[in-house]
Amino acid sequence: MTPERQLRAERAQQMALIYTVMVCLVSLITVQFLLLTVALEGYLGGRTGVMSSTALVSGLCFVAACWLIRYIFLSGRRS
Amino acid sequence: MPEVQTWKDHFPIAWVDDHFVTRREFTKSLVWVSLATFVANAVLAVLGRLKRRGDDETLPQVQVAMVDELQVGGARVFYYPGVDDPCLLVRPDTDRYVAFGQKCTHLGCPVNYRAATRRLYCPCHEGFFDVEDGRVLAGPPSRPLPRIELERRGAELWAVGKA
Repeated sequence: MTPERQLRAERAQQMALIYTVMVCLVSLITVQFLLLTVALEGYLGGRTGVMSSTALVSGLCFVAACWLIRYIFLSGRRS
Repeated sequence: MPEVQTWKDHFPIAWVDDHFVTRREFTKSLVWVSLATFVANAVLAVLGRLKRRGDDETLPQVQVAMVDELQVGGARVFYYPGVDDPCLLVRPDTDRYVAFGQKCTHLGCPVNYRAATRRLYCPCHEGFFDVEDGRVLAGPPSRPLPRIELERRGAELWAVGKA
C-alpha cells in the first residue's frame, strides 16, 4: 500500500470513528433530555421520588459520554 | 482608494474560516451539553429533596370555617398550610366535610365543586375528581388531588395536616 493510500485509509477510519461517537453522544443526550423532562414533571407534580433515579441515570449517561470522547482524544494523539 | 491595514496584509484570514468548527470540536462540545443536562437533573433532584423535607415538617393547625358557615353542597376556598396553597373545603353531606388542594394536578388550574354531580371540576382541560377521595374520574390529570385532613372542634373546623 502506498503511503498516500494508507493516509487516506487512516483518515477514513478516523472519520468513521468520529461519526460513530457523535451519533452515540447525540443518542445519550436525547435520553438525558427525556430524563430531564421526567424529572421536571415530577418536581412540578410533587412526585419527588422519581428525581433521584433520573439524576442517577443522567449521571451514568454523562460518564458514558466521557468514556466515548476518550476515543476522539486517542485518535487525535495518534494523528 | 482605501489604504489596506498592515496587520490584514500579514494575517489574511477570512472571517468564515476563523469561526470554522471541526467535527472533532463539535463532538467534544456535545460532552459539555451532556454535563449541563446532568447538572440540571441533579439540581432538580436536590430541590425536590429540599421540598420534600419541607413538606415532612410538622404542618400548622388552622381554623378554616365554622360548622354552620357552609351550606350542604357548598364550598369555600381557604389557604393551607401557607398563603400560597389554596384549598377547597366542601360540604357534600349534612354531617360531612372534606377538603382538597385546589390546584389541579394536571397544570395547576383551580378546581371548583359541582354539587349536582358531586364532582370537583377543572375548567381548563375538563378534568373531574371524585369529591369522596379526590381520585381522578375523567380528563387529563393523572394524579388525585391532595387531601387535607380536617378535625371538628366543637363548632369549628380545623385543618390539621395533609393526607
